[in-house]
Amino acid sequence: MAQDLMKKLTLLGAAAKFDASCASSGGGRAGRKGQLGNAHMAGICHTWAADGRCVSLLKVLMSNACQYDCAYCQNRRSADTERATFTPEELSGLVIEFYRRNYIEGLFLSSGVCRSPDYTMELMVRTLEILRQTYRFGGYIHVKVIPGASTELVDAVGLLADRVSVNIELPSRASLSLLAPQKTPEKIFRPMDYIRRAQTMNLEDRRHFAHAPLFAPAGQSTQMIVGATGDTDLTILRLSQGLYRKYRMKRIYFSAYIPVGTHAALPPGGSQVPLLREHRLYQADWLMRFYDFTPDELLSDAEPLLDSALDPKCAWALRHPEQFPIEVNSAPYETLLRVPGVGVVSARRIVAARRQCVLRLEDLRRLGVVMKRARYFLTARGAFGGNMLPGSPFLRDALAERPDDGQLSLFAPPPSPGPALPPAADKPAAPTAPRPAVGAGAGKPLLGPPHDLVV
Amino acid sequence: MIWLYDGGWEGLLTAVFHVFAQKDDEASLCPQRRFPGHSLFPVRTVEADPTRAGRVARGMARLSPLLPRVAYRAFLSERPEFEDALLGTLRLGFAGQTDPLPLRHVEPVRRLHRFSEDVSRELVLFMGVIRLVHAGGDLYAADIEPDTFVLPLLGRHFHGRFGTQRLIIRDRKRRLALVSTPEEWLIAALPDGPLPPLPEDRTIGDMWRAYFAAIANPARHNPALQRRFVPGRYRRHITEFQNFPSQGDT
Repeated sequence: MAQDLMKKLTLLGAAAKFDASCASSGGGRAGRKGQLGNAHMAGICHTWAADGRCVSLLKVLMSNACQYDCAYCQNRRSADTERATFTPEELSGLVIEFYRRNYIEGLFLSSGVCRSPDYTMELMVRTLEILRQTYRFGGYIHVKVIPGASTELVDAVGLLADRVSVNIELPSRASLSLLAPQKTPEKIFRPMDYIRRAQTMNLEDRRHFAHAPLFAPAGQSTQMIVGATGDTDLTILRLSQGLYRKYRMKRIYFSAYIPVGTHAALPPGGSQVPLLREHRLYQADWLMRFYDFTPDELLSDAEPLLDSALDPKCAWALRHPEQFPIEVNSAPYETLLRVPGVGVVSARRIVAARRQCVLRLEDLRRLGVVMKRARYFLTARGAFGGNMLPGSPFLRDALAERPDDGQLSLFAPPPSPGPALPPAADKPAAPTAPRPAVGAGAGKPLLGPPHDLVV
Repeated sequence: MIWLYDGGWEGLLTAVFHVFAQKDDEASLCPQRRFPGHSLFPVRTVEADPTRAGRVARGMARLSPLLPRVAYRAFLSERPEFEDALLGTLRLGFAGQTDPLPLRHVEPVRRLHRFSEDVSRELVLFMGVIRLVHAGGDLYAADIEPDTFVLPLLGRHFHGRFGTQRLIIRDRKRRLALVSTPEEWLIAALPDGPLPPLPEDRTIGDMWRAYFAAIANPARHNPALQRRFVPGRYRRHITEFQNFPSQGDT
């Protein structure tokens, strides 16, 4: 019995790894008497897998049997792969045993479409009910809604989970109909829209009734695949902005396409995984959410792809030398954020420190400013630290990231996709750093005409 | 003047009280365990006094709401330079009657923040990587070897999360243990002598190891990044990084 369960766990855990979302943040739930567990608002990383990514939740599929035949997916109906399905009792028991030992913050549950969207969702709802009601589980639960599921089941899942999400998968209507014809836009956006409206109604209910149950308190998120089609970065970022505004998304995840399919419209097996492009998109996404940039400031129809040698903020600063240099002792917070090398944390520290004293150039590094980039774009008490002005034609070269820099790189040259991991020997030529540090690497984005926007 | 204190938080605050009450500008503080026994400078020993310690704590909170928390965490870092950093920061704050914490570019404040952040970083890491083993009934246990004394900060988190279980988390370096029951939690000293090994908990441990090995994406293999987040010195007590002869090399 334990052997069967171990086999299901490895199969369904491995099948779930292409879902990039792993955060356990956004939902705080205090521990209560008789309840097992609580939820930490900022989320907790429990371990890091061999690919360097954080593991916070037990991320598994309910079932990797699937009725759909999406060309980019390793679990598609036509793929020759071993299939398994958890029972709700098995999965909830496993979650509790792992949670008791502090292996995980909670559960991330997605699934292939087993028999029908509603049948699959019912299995997932039953698992959550056992966790919340039988085991009195107070930890974090993130559930993926199956496209095409009925509203009643989306509602049931929202009342049991902390975060709910529906994957948008591909950035345009045309790509969806070509590569995943069974996932129509209507099947994806109807549950997204329902979740947003249910959250609004829930907020209203809680104003009037102190004990109204919470609906998805950690909000909703989504994921799209990057590099499978010819959609440009500008298309993707405009779509992201639309999703954040219209559906109040908490996060949008980008997942670099790893060739698994054989469709004529997809990159062939063995082609390079666009990890650098994914990294630049995350940087751009951060700029939109925390630094008040818009997609049209970062890119344009004439240049719809993000620069691979520079992070998007540097690229923007080089295109707008008239905005610089700015004086750190007087510039407003929003302007400080636009300086390459100044992030949210260092901008806040500058604003707090300058209330009490005048800052000099040598103080800025100690406040967390990355002077290697920032020195070309700011002054302190009028003193300028760069050896060339913001408009200089040589500045781009000085700022561009190079693979042989002493600076750490996120990307070792990726091996061709295959089941076996390479041996754990170090490659000194490819040191690494965590996101969102800048990194050099290869990985040319695919070019192609922009498709019409889905939103 | 060298002011000796017992090594505890209240003793430290009492010593700070005396330093400022006597207006000792050349003061340095030292916990008794670190004092070599002799010095060219005059030495005074301070007994912990809750009333005076309370006055200092309230004074710090009036200067800056975050200062007591930052100072306490820096204290838990057990760094020898901590006392000087604390005194320097307090002098800066009390002299100008302003919050000294934003002045991170000034040396004593920068150090205080750094020591405090070292502790915070280890706290967040251990909240995640502590691996409990089932020791029978509702008792779960774990071993850790942290660089800083994070055990008191872990107590609140683990007591709040695992209120239906009894826990023992042993800090092997300091010979102290966090003991948590549904009613309360406390820090206790471990007895002398070698510590008994924890039970193995193979069934669930093996499941976790198998899952962990299956989830890495081969196209993004990155052991150096993994090592940066989970340094080698912590891996001995983390289930998925432990080698089991029956499973072959991990």
